[in-house]
Amino acid sequence: MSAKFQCPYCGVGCGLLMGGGRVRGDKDHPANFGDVCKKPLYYPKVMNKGRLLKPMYREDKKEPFVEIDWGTAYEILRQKLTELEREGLYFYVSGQLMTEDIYVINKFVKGFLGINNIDANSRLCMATPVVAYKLAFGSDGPPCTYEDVDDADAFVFAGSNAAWTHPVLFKRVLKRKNEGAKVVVIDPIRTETASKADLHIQLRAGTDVALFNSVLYILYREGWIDKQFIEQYVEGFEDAIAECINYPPEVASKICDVEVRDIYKLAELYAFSKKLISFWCQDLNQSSQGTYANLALINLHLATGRLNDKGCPFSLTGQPNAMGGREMGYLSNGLPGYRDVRNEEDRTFVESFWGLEKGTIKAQPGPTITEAIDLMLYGKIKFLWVVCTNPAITLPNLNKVKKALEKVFLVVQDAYWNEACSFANLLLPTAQMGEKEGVMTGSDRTLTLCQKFSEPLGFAKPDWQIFKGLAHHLGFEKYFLYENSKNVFEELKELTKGRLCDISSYSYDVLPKRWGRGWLYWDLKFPTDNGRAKMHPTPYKHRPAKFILITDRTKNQWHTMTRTGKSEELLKGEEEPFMLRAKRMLWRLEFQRMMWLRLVLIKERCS
Amino acid sequence: MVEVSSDKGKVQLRVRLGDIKRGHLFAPFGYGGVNALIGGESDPFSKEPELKFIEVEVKCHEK
Repeated sequence: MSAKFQCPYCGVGCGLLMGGGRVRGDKDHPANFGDVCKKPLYYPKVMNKGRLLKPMYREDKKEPFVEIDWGTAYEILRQKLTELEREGLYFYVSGQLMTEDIYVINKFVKGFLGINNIDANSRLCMATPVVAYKLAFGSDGPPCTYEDVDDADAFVFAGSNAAWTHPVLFKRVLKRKNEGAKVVVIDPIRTETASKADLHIQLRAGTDVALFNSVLYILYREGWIDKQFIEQYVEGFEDAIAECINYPPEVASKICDVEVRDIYKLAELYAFSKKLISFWCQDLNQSSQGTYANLALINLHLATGRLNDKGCPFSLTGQPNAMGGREMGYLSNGLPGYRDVRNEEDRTFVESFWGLEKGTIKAQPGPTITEAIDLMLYGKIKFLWVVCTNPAITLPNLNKVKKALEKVFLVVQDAYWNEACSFANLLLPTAQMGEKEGVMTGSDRTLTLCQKFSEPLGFAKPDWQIFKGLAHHLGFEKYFLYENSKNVFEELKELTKGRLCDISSYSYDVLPKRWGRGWLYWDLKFPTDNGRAKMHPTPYKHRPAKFILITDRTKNQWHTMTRTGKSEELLKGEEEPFMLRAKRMLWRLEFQRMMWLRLVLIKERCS
Repeated sequence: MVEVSSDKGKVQLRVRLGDIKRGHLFAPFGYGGVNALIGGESDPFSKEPELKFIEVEVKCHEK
C-alpha cells in the first residue's frame, strides 16, 4: 500500500506515491497524472540527512547548544513571551508548511498574542501576485486551472523558466506546442524554456512594464481590443490607455532593448489567439515594480477579454503550499478565508469564531519581514521565531540580516539544520513531509492530502503540535483542543465558508480536490466593489545600470538546497556556486584583466 | 573567479559563460551568498523585495 502526498518542492503540487522506499507520480492526481520531475525521486535519500532531532538551547550564542526536553523548551518560550512586550515579538513562517500548521500558528499569534507581527517567506515570492490579483479581480486566486492548458493555443511565459522551476506543468505546455500551439518566452536569459519557444523576447531586466504597456498600446491603436467585454465587465480602461500611449513600440523597443517587430508579434498573439494563457513567476514578482508588472500583464487579458474560454493570467507559485498560506492569511495583513485584518467585519468574524473578545485582533497590519529586520536592528523587535524557512540565505541584504539575527533571541523551528540555526538560541525539531499528515494547495487551487509514511525522527513534532503545546503551556488549552491534524482541518475549513476559497464541505477523504470552479470567475462577476474587473495604469520607472545581476535557482536544486543539496545526483554539475555571464562579455572582462596586469607592471616598475 | 560587488557587499564567484543578455549576470541564490549584494528596495504595494535587478560591478580576480 502506497502513501499519497504532495511534492514538497515547487508549486505545481504534483501528487506522489511513496511505496517500497521509492517515490513515483500518482496517476490519479489532476496536477500531474503520474508525471514527475527529478527532484522528488531523491526525497527518500535526503529526507533524514542533517536533521534536528532534539530541542536544543543556549542562552548565550557563543556557547554550544545543550539538549533539553520539550517541557523545558515551552517554559523558556513562556518566559520570553511574557517578559517581552508583545510588539517586540516576531514570527516568520513558510509556504512549505502544511495548511494545518499555518492555521494554528496564525491563530496563536494574531488571535492569542494579539499581534500581527507575523509574515511568511511568501513575502519574497507571492506577495506581489496576491496584491495584483486583488487589485484587478477583487480577490487573490488564479482564475483558471491546469486543465486550461490542454485546449489553449498560445502561451506566454513572462519571467518564468518553467522548464526548470515547474517542469511537469511545462511538459504539459510542450505537448500543446507539439500539437501546434505557440509559445513566447520573455526573459533576459536564454533559459531552457526560452530555447523551446517559438519566440524569445530577450528584454533588458526590469523592463517588463514598458513591454506590456507597449503591447497594450498596439492592441489599442490597431483596434484589437474587445470593446464589448470592456464595456460589460471592466473599469479603468481609459486610465490604463492614458498611460500606455507613452509606450509606442519604437519607444518601448529602446527601453527594453528588443525588436519592434517582436512587440508586434506579442500583441498579435493577444489579439488573435483562440485561448492564451500568460504564465508568470518570480522575475515579475521579485521586483520593485512587481505589482505594476503583474497588473500590466493582467491589463492585456482584460483589454482583449482573455478570461475563461479565451485565456487566463496565471501566476505560478514558488512553494508547495504558498497557496494554502494565502488561504489562511499568513502574511502580516491576512486572516483565514482570504480575510484581512484591516477589515472590521473580517476581524469581528474571526474573533467570534476563535472565542475572543472583540478588539483582540489588531487592525494595523504588522511589519513585513524586511521591515522587521530593521526593527530588530533598532532594538524594537527582540524575539524572532523562524518556522521552516532559511532567512540567513534568502532575505535581501544578508550582511544586515545576519546582524539582526545575531541581535535577537532567535528560535529556529525546522526539520533540518540550516544556516539560520547558527544564529539561534533555541532549536525546535519538526516532523518532515511524510512524518505528519496535512493538506497543501498547489498553484491551480487543488488541495492534496499528504499522508504519513514514517515516524518523526528523534523528538521531532509536527509544527502545529509545537504551537498547540505552547498554547496549552500558556493556559489557552480550551482554544487549541486538537487531537490530530484532521481536527485542525475540520476547524479551519469553517472559516472559508461562503468565501471564494470555500473548502468548508471538504474532508480529508475527498482530496485531492480543487476549490472554486474550473474558472474562478466563470460568470464574469468579480468580487470587487462594483462587480467589475479593473485595469490599472502602470507607469514604468527606468533604472540605469552597467551590470544587472539576476538571482534565481538552478535546475535540480530547490531554494536553499537544504534537501536537494544533499543528493549527489541532483547536485551533479551544480556543485559550486557560480555566476553566469554573456559569452560576448568575455572581451570586456579580458580587457579589464589586461589593464589590471598593466597596472601591476607599472606599479612594479615604479617601486 | 570574479568579484561581484554592490553598495551592500561583495562575493567571489566562478564564472560560467552562457546565453544571457549583454550587461546581465545570473547567480543562483541557494549558495554563494549572493543575497549579500541585494539592497533594500521593495515594491511599494506588495513590499516584496527586488531580487532580479541588482546593480553590480564586476572585477576579474587574479588567482
